[in-house]
Amino acid sequence: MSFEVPKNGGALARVFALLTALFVAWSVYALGTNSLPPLAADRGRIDSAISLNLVVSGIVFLGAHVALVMALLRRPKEARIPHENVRVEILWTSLTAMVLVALLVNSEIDSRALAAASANAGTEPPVLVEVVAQQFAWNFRLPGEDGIFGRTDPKLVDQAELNFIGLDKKDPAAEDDIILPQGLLVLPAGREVRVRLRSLDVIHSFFVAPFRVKRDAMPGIATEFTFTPTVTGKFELACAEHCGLGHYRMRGMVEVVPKADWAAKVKEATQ
Amino acid sequence: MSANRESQGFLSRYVFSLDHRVIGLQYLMTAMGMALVGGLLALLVRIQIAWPSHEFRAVSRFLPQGFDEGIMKPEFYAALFTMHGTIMIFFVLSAALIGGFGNYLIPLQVGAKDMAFPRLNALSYWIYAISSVVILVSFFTPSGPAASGWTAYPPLSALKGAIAGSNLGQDLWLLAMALFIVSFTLGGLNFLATILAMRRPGLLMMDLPLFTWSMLFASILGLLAFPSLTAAAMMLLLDRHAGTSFFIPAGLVLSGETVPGGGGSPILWQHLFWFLGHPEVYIIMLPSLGITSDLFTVFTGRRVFGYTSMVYAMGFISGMSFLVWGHHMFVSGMSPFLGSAFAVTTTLIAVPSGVKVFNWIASLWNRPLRLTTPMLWALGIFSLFVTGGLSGIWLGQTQIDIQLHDTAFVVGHFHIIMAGAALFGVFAGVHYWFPLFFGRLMNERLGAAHFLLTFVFYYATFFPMHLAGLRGQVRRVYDPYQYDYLKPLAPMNAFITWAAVALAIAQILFFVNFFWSMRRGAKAGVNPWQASSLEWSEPAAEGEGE
Repeated sequence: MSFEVPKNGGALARVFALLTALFVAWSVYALGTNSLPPLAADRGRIDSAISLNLVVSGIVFLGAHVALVMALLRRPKEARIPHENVRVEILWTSLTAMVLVALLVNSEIDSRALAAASANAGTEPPVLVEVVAQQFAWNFRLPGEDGIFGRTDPKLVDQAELNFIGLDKKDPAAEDDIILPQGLLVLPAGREVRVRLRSLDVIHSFFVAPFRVKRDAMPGIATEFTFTPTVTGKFELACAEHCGLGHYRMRGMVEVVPKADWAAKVKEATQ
Repeated sequence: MSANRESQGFLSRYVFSLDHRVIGLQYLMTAMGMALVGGLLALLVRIQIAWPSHEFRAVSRFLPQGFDEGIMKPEFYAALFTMHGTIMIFFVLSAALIGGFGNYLIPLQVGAKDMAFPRLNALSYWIYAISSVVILVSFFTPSGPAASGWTAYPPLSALKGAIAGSNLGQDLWLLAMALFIVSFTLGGLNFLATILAMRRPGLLMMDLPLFTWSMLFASILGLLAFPSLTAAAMMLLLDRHAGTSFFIPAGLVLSGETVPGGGGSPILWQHLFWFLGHPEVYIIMLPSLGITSDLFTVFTGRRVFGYTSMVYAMGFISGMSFLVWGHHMFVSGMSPFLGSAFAVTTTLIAVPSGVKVFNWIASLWNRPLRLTTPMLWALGIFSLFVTGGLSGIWLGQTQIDIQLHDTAFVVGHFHIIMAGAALFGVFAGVHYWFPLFFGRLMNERLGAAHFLLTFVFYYATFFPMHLAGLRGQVRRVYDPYQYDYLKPLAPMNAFITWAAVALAIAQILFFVNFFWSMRRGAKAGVNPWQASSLEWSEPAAEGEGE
């Protein structure tokens, strides 16, 4: 050998072990001090799932790195562990599988609950909203008193007339449709919102971080999802899917107002 | 140098060679060159995120179409992250690990004289070289390179009016991908034939180094997964030029104009793309995992713990990798039942990954480690595989993915697990096999310094991205601070960018070490690491033929 090979416990091993320990300590601290934006909808299940995962993966992360640091610092003279042990291997394979299956079951329960209508929906009908994304703006429409969205036709899109979604004004169902100004959605707090989401051109994605809501606006397909805003205030709507040069400025605003003020606020916004 | 060699002439020996060793080094060197390009693009992306609308007077002179008065255009920013991803995943990591190490080492590790089809092998390299040129040339087209992301989702990538890069740049991107796939298919066939049919008599499959096993699985994955992208790329080209609508639904309106055609589905592209895209992640991960296991055998004085289960784990991961692609599409609006199915398969694929971690811990436990530079990189891979694997489990759960999908969390996750583990694998392999390549050793002190700096700055760059993602920072944004709620993240983004700059500077140590050691490194002799796999049983390159 023309060079000296450092072994466990030497200076190089100690430096590497120290850096690993520092990284682990820093990452645990950073994860503890950075959190999701404050929750403003009925989707706290996502927050709980993230907390649960922080704990579970934190234990594995710490365990594996402590093992690495100790392997670096210990000075065994010879290998004392056999290089195969079927029983131990079966044990840790099943252990891993059990933890993962538990997380999977939890995730399935959460996802079903998040997709279902909210629990307090019985008393009031849900608020229906159509969201139509385009390069690089958000269009919002409420169905009005009839609860039915009027017909739209891409051929009727006329930007000069501010008919961005191609609403067919001859359709009787379209008469009472409320078109909100581009980029502003007004919602009542405490009522279930059902969103019908579509796109006029490329793929966009509807993301309001405090609501824990994200869904792609897929051209050619209208998809639906539901959530209940719980906190009043203004929340920024971001486009989460790369949609072109203006992706970064495809910003919208969701204003959540008390239930009683909602109708008046919508009227105010459309004037 | 023997007279015999010189008489072959420089071109036939080093350029149009049929020797698997030369071809392997050609792949490696080309990939290193492409890595410089990919890394530069990443730095520009990071500088823009940290300090939006920063002036790049110097760079703007080379690529005037990407800048306006020295300030980067948003569409050029999109081109930067698109080309960074494409170049790094395919032209750097796949090329170095599969083309570079695979070509050089498979014949040696199975005890064959050369690849099964040497001419095919040379052809595979040259097609890769041409595809690299095509992807680089696309930077200099009038409308700039492709800008629809490395995933090239239509309609953005299908409609010329959707973004500047969706003109000639996207066509060249598709052409480069098609060529790359042809090259990869030729290489994969060759690898399979060599490993299965050309092994030295008496050498059993279960005696092969885990690196060769990883090459076997990666070749199978490539052969079965890439055709899906070939088909998708052809369909996208037809949509763009022949008036078909595979991916274009009816009734689109782009900038006020109705888009002709219709009846297609943009989600179909996502299925076809990720049917390749996910196995591709394992194509570049598996070699790294194989190298790590083999290095643990060499540098702990005993065979890696659970060799047999390592082989099964790699096989299971490879098989399952075809069944998890939908986890990239949890929020695309596809059926929630499909989402559940993909969450199950994603959970299953995490089990063998956990097994590998446990096996590795057992391989390190109570064994005397020899901390050579290759071993340091292998230990780095161990750490990255744990960290990135855990964040992957987060993203595999559908409810968590709602919040974290398309945020910086995902960017941090895949840079640690896929890009990081693969990149560390390249460094581990180069340091380890350098004596075979050039008959000399790389400098250990310089190597250790390069490793420690890279380890620290790699985490400093990519770990905070998880935090930014948790706080809601969406990815691929030219200026995150258009959003008020992201404004407090400015210091964190600046920190990440400084760490990325430091990471880039640390790589100078590697290039210095590589080229210095090529001529001046300590003579290696035969088997300098005291390894037991077959590639070390032959004399190193320097002494060969004398």
